[in-house]
Amino acid sequence: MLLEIKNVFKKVTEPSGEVITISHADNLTLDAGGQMLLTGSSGSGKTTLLHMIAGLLSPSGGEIYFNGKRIDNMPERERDLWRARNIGYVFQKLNLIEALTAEENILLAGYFAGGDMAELKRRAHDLLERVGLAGKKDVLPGKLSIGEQQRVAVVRAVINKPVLLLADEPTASLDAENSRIVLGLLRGLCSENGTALILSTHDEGVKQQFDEWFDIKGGRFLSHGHN
Amino acid sequence: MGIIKIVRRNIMFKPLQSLIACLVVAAGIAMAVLVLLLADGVHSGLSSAAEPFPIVAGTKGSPNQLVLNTVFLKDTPMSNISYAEVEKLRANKNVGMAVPFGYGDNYRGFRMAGTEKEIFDYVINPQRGKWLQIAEGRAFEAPFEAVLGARMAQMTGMKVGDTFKTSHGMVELPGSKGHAQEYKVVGILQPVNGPYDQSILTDIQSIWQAHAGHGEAAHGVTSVLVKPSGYAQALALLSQYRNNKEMQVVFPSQIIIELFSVMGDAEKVLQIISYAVILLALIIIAFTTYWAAAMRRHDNAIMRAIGAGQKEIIKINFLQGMLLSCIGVAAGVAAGHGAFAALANLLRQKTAVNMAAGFTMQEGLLVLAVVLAAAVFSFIPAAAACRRQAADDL
Repeated sequence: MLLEIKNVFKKVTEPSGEVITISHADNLTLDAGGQMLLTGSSGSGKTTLLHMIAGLLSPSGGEIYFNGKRIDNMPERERDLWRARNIGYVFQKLNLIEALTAEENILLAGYFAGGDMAELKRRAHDLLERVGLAGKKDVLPGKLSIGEQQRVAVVRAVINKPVLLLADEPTASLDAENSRIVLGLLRGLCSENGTALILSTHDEGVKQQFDEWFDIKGGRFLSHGHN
Repeated sequence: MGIIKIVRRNIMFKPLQSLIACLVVAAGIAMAVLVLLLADGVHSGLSSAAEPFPIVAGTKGSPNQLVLNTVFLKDTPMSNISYAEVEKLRANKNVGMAVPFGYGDNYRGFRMAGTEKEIFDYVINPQRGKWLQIAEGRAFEAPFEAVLGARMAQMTGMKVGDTFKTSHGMVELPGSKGHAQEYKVVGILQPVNGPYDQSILTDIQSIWQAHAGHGEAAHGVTSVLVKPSGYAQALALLSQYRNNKEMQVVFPSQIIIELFSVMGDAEKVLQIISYAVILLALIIIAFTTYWAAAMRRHDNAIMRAIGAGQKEIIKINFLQGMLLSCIGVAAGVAAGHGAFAALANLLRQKTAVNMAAGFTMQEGLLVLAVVLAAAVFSFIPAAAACRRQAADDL
């Protein structure tokens, strides 16, 4: 088993002083190379759960295991290293670094993971060509369309061939055509590399494409299904 | 791809923001450097001007006025003493050399100093060599021959062989009647980096002859430059003249020190201002580097999310903060020195007092303190960013 989540939750204190639970996952498991969908409306707690899995946010309680090793209580430094080696992340807000070109944004992830730069460049070029952006590798994110930025973000997330790819609403700001392209790209690249995928979306229509899905509402898992 | 490239891209991506950060730091540093240089420069400039005058003798009265007359060529000349006093001084065993000076005339506002040609043999000390050295022409050898200070010659464009007539008084007033005698320029001095760069030297006989019909005491001198035989002899000479009712003997360097102690409060205020400006510069550095780091918080979180370790985040932020601060510091030091040079030039034009524009120890300490502050304030937010949960800044 690649990922195991046991009763993980995150509580935050509202400005009024009230403590609320914004995400609560009772039990969730994912095998290596598996693909899972999290569905729920905006604010349902999907992003918080993905942040906790990626080690970007510490849970208020519960346990997260990755390849049998508990990761939720790792020190920040160790967790940064673990994340660099194992996790790819496609953010809902894209989060490309504005000062770097498309190619540099992609290579940055490889650089932090300690990859061979010549090999990374070759791979980045191949991937950019595959997503139709080879001609825009030297363009700054601000000069790319949202769809193009999202494709760069996807390439950045897979450049290191991560063990687990977390994609947070990757199609939220895309039109139907771009959504289809990005989704296909994500799933295809993960399948090729044996990368496990957890993808969150508020689009119910995506459910049919995944073997397994979880519905989240009000921070809690409501239902779980298989196709 | 590497840390340096990321830092360079970050700086160049927001050139205006980077420029403002550098300029704010530079402005703070420039102010602090200027205040430090001024505090030091005025002191050293006045002391340096007084260096060729170990002892000055003159009529009883204000020692400050005597020093202003003789060392700085300023203020109304004091009344004359008899030339016999010069001879008495020369006969004194405590005196190595005594050269008279007579003031009272000017040419286009440049003061004429009547003296004797021995002044051209006067050696301040073995290291400095002769005080007055001829750059062009020769020393005066007869009345109404003149040797021009380097700056005076430069400012007026006068050359060896030119002639001119002087006016009575310290400034040339419109319509004022000049002396009838004509002076001939026979030499031009090398720069002495002091008030005598703006003087005209002539034989004191010229002054006596020019003033012969003015009812002034014949063969009088305004002051006497005295070089004592040694340190103990200098003190002995001072003691000999302490109770003299006609004359006073002063150490100009001591008068300047006393002047500074009289102005002690003003100097203290300047010192407080310089500390305040330095503190302000440090606050500016702290604020600028912290502000720049805060602006990078989102990028830091992205980089952590895609795998950057704490070391990389700290390196990037530290280098970026240090680079901008160091550019600001370098620009500030240059601007501070530039402003000081402009002010020093203005002062030199007005008074010929030369404020040396070197690097001071205090300035070195300031730069060190600012660079250290920049290092600390670049490091703190970078380290803090690593302790934050990356998700909070995404």
